[in-house]
Amino acid sequence: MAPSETMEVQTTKKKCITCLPGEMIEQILVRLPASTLLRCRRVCKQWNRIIRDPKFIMAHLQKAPRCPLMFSHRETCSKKLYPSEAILFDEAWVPSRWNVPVIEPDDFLCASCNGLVCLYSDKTTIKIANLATGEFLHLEKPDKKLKGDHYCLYNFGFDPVREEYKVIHFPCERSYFPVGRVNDIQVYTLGDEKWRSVRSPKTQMLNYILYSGVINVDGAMYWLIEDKESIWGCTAVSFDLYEEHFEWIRMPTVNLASSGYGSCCIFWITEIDGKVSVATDQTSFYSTRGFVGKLEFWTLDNKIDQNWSRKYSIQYPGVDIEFPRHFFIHGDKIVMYDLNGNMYCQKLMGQSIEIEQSKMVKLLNYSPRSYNNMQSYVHVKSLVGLDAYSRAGNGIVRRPKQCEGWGLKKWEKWTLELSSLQKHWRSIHQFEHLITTHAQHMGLDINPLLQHPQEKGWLNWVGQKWVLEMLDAFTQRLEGIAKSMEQAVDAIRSKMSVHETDQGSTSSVGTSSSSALMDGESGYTKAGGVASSI
Amino acid sequence: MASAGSGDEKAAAAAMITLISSDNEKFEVTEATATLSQTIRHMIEDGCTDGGVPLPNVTSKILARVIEYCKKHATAAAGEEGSSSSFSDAAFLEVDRAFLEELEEFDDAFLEVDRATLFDLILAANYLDIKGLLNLTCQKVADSVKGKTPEQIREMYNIVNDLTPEEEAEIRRETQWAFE
Repeated sequence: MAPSETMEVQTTKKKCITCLPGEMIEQILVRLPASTLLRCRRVCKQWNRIIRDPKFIMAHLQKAPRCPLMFSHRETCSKKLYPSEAILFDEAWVPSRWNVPVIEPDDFLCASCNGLVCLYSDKTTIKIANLATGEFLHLEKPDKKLKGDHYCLYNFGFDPVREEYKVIHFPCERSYFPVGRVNDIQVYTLGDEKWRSVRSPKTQMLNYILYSGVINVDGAMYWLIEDKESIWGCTAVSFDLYEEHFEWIRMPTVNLASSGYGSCCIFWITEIDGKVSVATDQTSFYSTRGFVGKLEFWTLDNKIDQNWSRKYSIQYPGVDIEFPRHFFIHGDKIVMYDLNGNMYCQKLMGQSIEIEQSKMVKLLNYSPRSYNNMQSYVHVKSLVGLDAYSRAGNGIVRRPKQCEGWGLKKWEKWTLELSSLQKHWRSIHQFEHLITTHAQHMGLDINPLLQHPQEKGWLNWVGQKWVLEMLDAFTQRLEGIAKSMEQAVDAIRSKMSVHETDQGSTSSVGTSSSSALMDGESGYTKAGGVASSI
Repeated sequence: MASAGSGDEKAAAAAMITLISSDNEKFEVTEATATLSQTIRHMIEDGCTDGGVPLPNVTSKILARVIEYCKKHATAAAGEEGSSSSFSDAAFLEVDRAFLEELEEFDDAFLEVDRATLFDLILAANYLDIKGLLNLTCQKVADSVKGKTPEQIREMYNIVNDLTPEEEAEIRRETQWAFE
């Protein structure tokens, strides 16, 4: 065995990752998350070249996990203004704690596709941004003075045939929303400089766009329109992004569970496992919620034959919950929220499911923000770049020097509060560090409670709650720590009075720890103050 | 497991393939084991495996490990196929889960090798076109890179930083708005 072992050691020394052919390095790198890859660009020239290669970026996009994204729009709750924020979940359903730098407080989310998002604001431009890289570009809205323009009239998708990204806009004739009527839609191909009109064969009534939205599957967009001739007064429309033509798809035949007064089916367009789907619930005159409490999901098996098959039937008679649009289902879990500000998910086993309190897993609490302001999307962290589109047209690729939208007067109070919270967290963390070190000197073992505040911009509301909870727990423990330190100091002092000869060295420990205690008290009141003020 | 074993023996009696490593060592394996490699599968289909399959890019040490992997996964695949018809749904799920757990444990233990061997396994998996093994080994290297700084990665894998300070500064600037 001995000779072969020495041989192995030698080969280990010689063999390094650069011995692998580039193709194999790609195979390794393609399995890493976007954030790691961005860091890996600084490893060497070869890695930088691989990670920036558009082919690699597409391969990475195919492999990267699809994760839920919850978006809440800017709103005023209890007279307080809250910014638009995106909460990204990871594969283990852990929500992000930091603000996505590229999303500004007044941005509205229109769509998420291939790691890029389409953001709408009151400005004259639409923003396309990559949440993972922070790269973004602006493009002019088709009509700057359009009255009644709305974020839900914009959408964004990818045509895999030509590998082109397209923004679409429904130019509503009426300024009165939501009864919009369109005869054509406007299309903007990224890299092009202009909006084009595409004629629709029939007039489309866009009543459902606001609450049902638009989804984007395999190079086509889908939405629901009002159709008086069809059974539930509703039809799906698809718009192929390659051929740019429309198709009408009739709804699945749903049997009413009860045919009481005022019963009818309400549809939402959605996506399950990459398939076009509709969710449907039955309205009920007698229910306080307005629905019977039976949600059905149908997926479109075949666009040409217009075949739908029932995927899930979900009952929720005993629980008062609602479902966020537009993605009800992520993987094998359905997302829901109650009216107390809690968001949950439940695993879907089988076709027929009952939502039960005991099976619901709490994801987060979003209070005081309002429950009906939460939109559910799917997001993938990709490296898809916008550089290619910056040369042509109005788009300018930029990486934000600072979060511009936050400079506005109306966000002054918000940013001040947030930065003071983060400042307190930092100073209290430093103080805790000091206590812990001093305690260790005295033989006391205290586990630090606060996590090191890694600065990644600003905390989102999940992060703010997390910090406040930590500070709360910390202030509660502080008294105990202070007490045991006092005892330790007393013990030292009493020993000092016995051995007066050894004064010099021990008294320095005594003074520094008591000064730490004094700092501690001011830190304590600060922490308490922050916790009660927010 | 006993039935799976006897199945294996039957297959063994039916068709054995000889693989020859770069250092001329011969390995006798069943066709079921060998065909986990797409490269060998194609050779069998083309009928050019008589007299053994020479694998000039794979040493006997690495080939032995690759065969170990293929044997385990071929048995697992055969076991799954066999069990699906003879068990009820619940029992099938149970057996399925047990198989997967055992396989996962095997894979974890299999990956307990030094880096040079790991790289050799990647090269062999690529050359022999064994998807599962390539996936497993590449993922192992990828996991070791996660959460590391560029400096740590270079150190860990002996990579020379050939970027100029200007290039590095440019990349830093471009990636400063990255969202974790």
